Amino acid sequence: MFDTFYIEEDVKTHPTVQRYLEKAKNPHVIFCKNYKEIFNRRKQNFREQKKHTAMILAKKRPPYLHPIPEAFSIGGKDNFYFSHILNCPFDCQYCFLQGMYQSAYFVHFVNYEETLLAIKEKGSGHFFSGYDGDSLALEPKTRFLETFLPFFAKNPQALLEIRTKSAYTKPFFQHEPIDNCVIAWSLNPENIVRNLEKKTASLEKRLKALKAVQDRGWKIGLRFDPIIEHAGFFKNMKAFFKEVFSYVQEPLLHSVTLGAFRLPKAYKKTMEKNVSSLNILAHSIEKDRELRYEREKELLAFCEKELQKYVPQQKLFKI
Amino acid sequence: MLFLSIAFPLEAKPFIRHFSLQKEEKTFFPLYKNEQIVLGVTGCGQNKAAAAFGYVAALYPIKIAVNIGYAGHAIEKSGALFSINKILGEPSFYPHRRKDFSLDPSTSLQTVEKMEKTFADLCLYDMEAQGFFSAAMSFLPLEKIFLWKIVSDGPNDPFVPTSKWIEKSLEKLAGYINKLTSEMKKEKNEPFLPNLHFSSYQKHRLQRLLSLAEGSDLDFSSIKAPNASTYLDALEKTLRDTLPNYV
Repeated sequence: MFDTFYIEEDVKTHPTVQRYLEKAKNPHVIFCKNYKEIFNRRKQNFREQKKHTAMILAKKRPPYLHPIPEAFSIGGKDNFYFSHILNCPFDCQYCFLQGMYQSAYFVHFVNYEETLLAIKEKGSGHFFSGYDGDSLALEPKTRFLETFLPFFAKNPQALLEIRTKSAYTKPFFQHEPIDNCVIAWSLNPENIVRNLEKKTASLEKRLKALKAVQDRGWKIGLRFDPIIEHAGFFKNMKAFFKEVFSYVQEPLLHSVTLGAFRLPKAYKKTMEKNVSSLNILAHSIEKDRELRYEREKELLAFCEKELQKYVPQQKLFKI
Repeated sequence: MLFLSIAFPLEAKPFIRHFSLQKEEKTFFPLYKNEQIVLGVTGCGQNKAAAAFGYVAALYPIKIAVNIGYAGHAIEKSGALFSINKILGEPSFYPHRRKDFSLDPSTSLQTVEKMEKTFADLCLYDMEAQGFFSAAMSFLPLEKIFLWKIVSDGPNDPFVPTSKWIEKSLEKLAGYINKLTSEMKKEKNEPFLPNLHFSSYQKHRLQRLLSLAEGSDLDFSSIKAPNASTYLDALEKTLRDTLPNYV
């Protein structure tokens, strides 16, 4: 997948970097002082870079953990997110990443040790991965779980959320299930997946993956966030929820979150450059420095009512 | 247009001949062009390369820019061809690397004021790249700027004015230039546009809507509207009502 590697001087001898170079066919290496020299370059074209992407191998520098407001929690009091990668191989047309980042290159922070130390220092809390890129999509390359699952197994006061739109389950069969890990799938009806969540696993594949890890004893989460307004929304969502919950064993369901499409207004201009996002933007209005659906309340109220048929109230969280 | 920025006439001649470029009259420095390409013989040094870019960009709608020329290297043999992936400096620049241009090995480069004699580092040395790239970045997206260099001299191999090293790589370089110009043409082709004035935002929205309808047999010409905004709303409604997978 990658043959062009930008490598920070600080990590050039890191074992993960060496592994990348050993596995790549004819790797092309360009050294840099700081990943931002490449990732934050002026006048980059996100769409053009998607065609010729590259991997930047970098050192994560403090802060390693970022606090998340309680309103976005799944029942925990202290919530933090962390990023082992920036950017995502998936191409969701509504994703804020294409508004947030100028570059479509991937950044992999290879020094997991420091992030794990920061989590250990916190002792307890909920720790969310998958904010700056799908947690599992690049797992065969990043081997994030190979390090993080054993760590969380030894630190049961801390809870790890892995969030994904992939159907990659291999690590969960190589490791015994742990109570303090939630594998959360972001889900949307298949017509949305096909049209707007390019390169992600189909709904059916995600549901089969979800069932497989659940059967093995892992806790799962369902993330209906963002829900996307579309023709036939009410009928389609009703059928969609029914299908999803036919795969779910309630005792292993950790939490369900519900949220509608929203985007910080500041990202609008960058996203407008990406032609394919415009249809989403056209359906939204500006509200309190964010772009949101005009019918947001109505859409969410309907979904909440439907979800209450399947989910106990204490497991349902609205964003 | 594609701008070929080249410092010296002897480096430029093979391209002028190959692409049948015609000399422009009354320009501040020699310019040669055809329908797709404008080649400037900019003179030596990064200031001249930068100034030339500004001048050409003011005259022509430049969409892609390529700097081609000779460079020195401590150990590489004369005639070796490189694409530039890093221009060393404070700050360094990192031109975009395209996988389909097999100009490997690509390498780093230092732009110097005078012809390099010591070749202390294992990189290419030229006299224009940094000026060219800085100026190009003011006009173009990063992904539309390319630097291709051919080794012409080294510590034991003094520079000799000749076109032969360019001639050696001409076929390959001309192939890449043709590829870039054909991509430029494709990007230029507007999709179906009704006879209305579309702002650039509305053009994007139109492209998006039309791409959703690809493969369908919808007849867009039947949609009548007094202005672009109404037209787009009508088109969107048609798609919403007609396409089963419309989102």
